[in-house]
Amino acid sequence: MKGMDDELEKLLRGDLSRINSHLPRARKTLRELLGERDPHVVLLNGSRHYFRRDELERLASIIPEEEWDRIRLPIIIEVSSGLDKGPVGIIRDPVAARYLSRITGAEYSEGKPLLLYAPQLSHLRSIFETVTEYAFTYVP
Amino acid sequence: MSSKRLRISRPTKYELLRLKRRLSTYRRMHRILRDRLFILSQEFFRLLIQAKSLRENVNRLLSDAYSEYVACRASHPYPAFYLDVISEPRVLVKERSIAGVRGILVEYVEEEEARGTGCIAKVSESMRRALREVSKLAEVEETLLMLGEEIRRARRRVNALEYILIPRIESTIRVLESRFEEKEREEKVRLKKVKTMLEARRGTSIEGHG
Repeated sequence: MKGMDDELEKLLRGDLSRINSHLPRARKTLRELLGERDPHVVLLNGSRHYFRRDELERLASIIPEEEWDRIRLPIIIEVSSGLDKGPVGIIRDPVAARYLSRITGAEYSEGKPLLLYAPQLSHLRSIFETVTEYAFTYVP
Repeated sequence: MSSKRLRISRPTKYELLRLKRRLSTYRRMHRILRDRLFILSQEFFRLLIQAKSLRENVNRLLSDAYSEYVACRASHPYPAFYLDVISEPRVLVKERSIAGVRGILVEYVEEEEARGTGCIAKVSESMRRALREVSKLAEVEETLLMLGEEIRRARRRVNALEYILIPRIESTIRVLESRFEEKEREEKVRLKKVKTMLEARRGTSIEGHG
């Protein structure tokens, strides 16, 4: 029984160490991605994540051109169930938070991260599927 | 729910402390994996609704395209007619990530020039519309399969923590704590008896000397 528990724990620790390996090694700005023929980023696990061109163009239409060098993609949505009963998504990027709050209808205060609840997250993901990505964190 | 306990080689207070730390780690793991499972499930249902709508759309477009094809074919009864209508479709398949699950992006590569005139042009356009939707549907359905697999795997992990590892550790901690409490109580009782005995002896020896 002890052996099986150790194996299970090893498996779970392995899972946990890989849980955020889908995040990009380096993010690119909106302007850089719009200029690429096949816009993509390389992930920590070595694979690639391609963006849909129409999503990039849609994002470019809601963000003013002077901010295109400030917003880095993919937009990371941190997921944590620390605060409320269910998981919440947190967008810390100030430019992304400002403009995405208008799409999701979430409350936004300048300088503070944007908090998204499950229905708002789902709505955002249905519009920006490749432009956003989840990161899993723990808030005690 | 499992009620078995972990086997402890040395039931010491240090071991109890180690177990409590391990329990805290397991609870943290459980929260993170449960959040991930929630997100994966949410993505799955969102794509499921999309797939249903796309499937209905594809069925309708294909039905219309084939009806128009058959009608047009009747007025162009030569074997290679279909080549005039549409060339071999080209799609680009790229990879993407959805919360750590490897999904695909399918892009239908549009032909540059419109084909033919009259009914041929109409059929060609219908076929292209249908193929565009088919490629979107392929992307969504394939991603659903991958997500489904990952959800099954994630659920097993979460259940293993919730129903096996965490209850076992909690049970072992409870047993160890109750053992230590009992030992402490026994120790107190023993000390009290010893104290009483010593006091009794001291009392007897004073009387003897007096």
